[in-house]
Amino acid sequence: MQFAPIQRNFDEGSGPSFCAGRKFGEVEQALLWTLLHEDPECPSRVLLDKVAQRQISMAVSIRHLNRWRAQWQLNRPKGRPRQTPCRPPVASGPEVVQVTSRLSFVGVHLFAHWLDQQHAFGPVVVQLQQAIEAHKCAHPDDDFALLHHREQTLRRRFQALFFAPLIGIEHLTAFDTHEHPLPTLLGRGYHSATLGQFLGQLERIDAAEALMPALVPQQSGPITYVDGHMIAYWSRLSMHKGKITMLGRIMAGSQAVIAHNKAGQALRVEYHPPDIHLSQIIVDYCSKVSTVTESALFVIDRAVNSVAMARAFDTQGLGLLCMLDDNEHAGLDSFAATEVGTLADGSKI
Amino acid sequence: MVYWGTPKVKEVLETTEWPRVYRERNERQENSFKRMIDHGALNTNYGRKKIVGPDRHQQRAREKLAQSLEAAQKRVNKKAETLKTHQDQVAESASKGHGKRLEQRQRALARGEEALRAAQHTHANVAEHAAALGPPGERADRDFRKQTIMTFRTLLLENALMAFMVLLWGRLQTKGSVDCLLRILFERSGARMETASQVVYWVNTAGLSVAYQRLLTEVVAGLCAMDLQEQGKLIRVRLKDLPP
Repeated sequence: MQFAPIQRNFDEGSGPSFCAGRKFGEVEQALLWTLLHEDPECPSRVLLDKVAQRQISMAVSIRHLNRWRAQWQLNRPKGRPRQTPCRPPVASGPEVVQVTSRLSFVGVHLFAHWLDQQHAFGPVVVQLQQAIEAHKCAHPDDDFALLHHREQTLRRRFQALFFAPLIGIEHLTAFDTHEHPLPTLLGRGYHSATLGQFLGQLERIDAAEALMPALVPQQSGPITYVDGHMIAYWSRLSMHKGKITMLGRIMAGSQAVIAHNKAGQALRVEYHPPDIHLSQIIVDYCSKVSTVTESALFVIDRAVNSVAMARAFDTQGLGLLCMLDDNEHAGLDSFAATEVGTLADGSKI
Repeated sequence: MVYWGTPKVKEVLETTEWPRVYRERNERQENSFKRMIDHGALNTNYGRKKIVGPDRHQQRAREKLAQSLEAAQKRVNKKAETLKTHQDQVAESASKGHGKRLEQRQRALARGEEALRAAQHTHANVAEHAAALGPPGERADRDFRKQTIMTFRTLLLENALMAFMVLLWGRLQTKGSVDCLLRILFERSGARMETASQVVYWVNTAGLSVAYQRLLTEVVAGLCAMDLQEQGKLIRVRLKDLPP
């Protein structure tokens, strides 16, 4: 008989005692128990298929099966079974370890390896861990998932957010609806719910401010460029109107004030409501940048044109280079000008 | 164009350098924002949260009305003084027995009374508006922290991409842009094979123009020269239509 060895094993005391039910005979139970012992992670639907392959009819539902599994303590943990990131080898040869015949976004994989070699995420994870520790000290009663994440989890989830635009994902919900190469890139995929929760919890510990030092290179140079970037905001909810009004925009959104160094590397970003003019916050902002980068010269666009602003910068010991608007002067007649030279493009200085 | 700077700028930068340094702002920032919008999701919103703060719209309206009220009060005072003058002049003309001048001064007094009434009416209106604003209110603002984290992500990505570009293009004779690199290398599919000693990536060249294929060949050679490694194994990059 096909199941004789199995039954013999049960007699040895390694399995539970089976008693025949209305739908589930002893033999069927024994077969299931054996199959589950061979592969405890096997989903119940696959288990039924395996039983069917052995030409044994079993008229039980998956729910019924799950109850038996719970009783035997051979049930699977919650969630979908994890998929192996790469396909099994298809090429021959003793040297080949693994082959992935179709890999999307190859360049992003190579870029990721280069970033790993540069330890690019090391400072980010360290800053995050410090922010988490600081939050734990400040709010000892708080208890949410981020506070218990391992270093590897923090790194992977931040990497998922980091690589998202490069793999064509702008909104987090696209992780659920678009095919993406995160399993081959990070070793596992993520759903928007996980990353949305991660992002919300990062916000809860105010990670943005803690992460800023990770942007600053070791040497930033003496000149810093500062500019504001307005980001529009659309919403289905009724909200107040902001500074900029355009068809389709309910609210002007937010103003990101971003600083770059001479090499074009971003140094800092701050968000402000759009109705607060750049001139109201720029001196504080530049002081913060100057403290971190030791850069004292700032090149800012015409949004900060005023004598009062120049005086405010000078008082702080900072330099400000700016340009007048065309409507703020009437050529050389407006100034006591002295010609000092001519540039290569012919313009006079 | 007129550039201006504080004394500190003059100490560090020659005046002749000012136009060049200022113009570099365009590439450093304006073009960088465009690139980040294209491939860094800079303009994407990642949710909002309300934080309650002082109602700045009401504050601004209150300041404006306070200024108007002050101006209206000054105007009322001035009109009252003018009216007093007219009244004195009418009394003087009446006591001196003026005929035509008395009539003129009485007409001026009537105009003054009208002007005072108008000024008082304006003052009352402004005061009514100021009172209608009520006590200082509160308004919900967006909390930008979630957005700031994701913009930090975008900036970090752009910094990393720029550094990668500088390293890669430094090894090539042909130069290109970040967008070009993203299109011909990052967004392309391919295959991967791992052996005991190395990892080989193939980049699919199907559909690329001859010029782009030539550039991609250079890029691939540059990547191989960068000695990239994956778990201690050397990474080799090949084009898919070439033998591995």
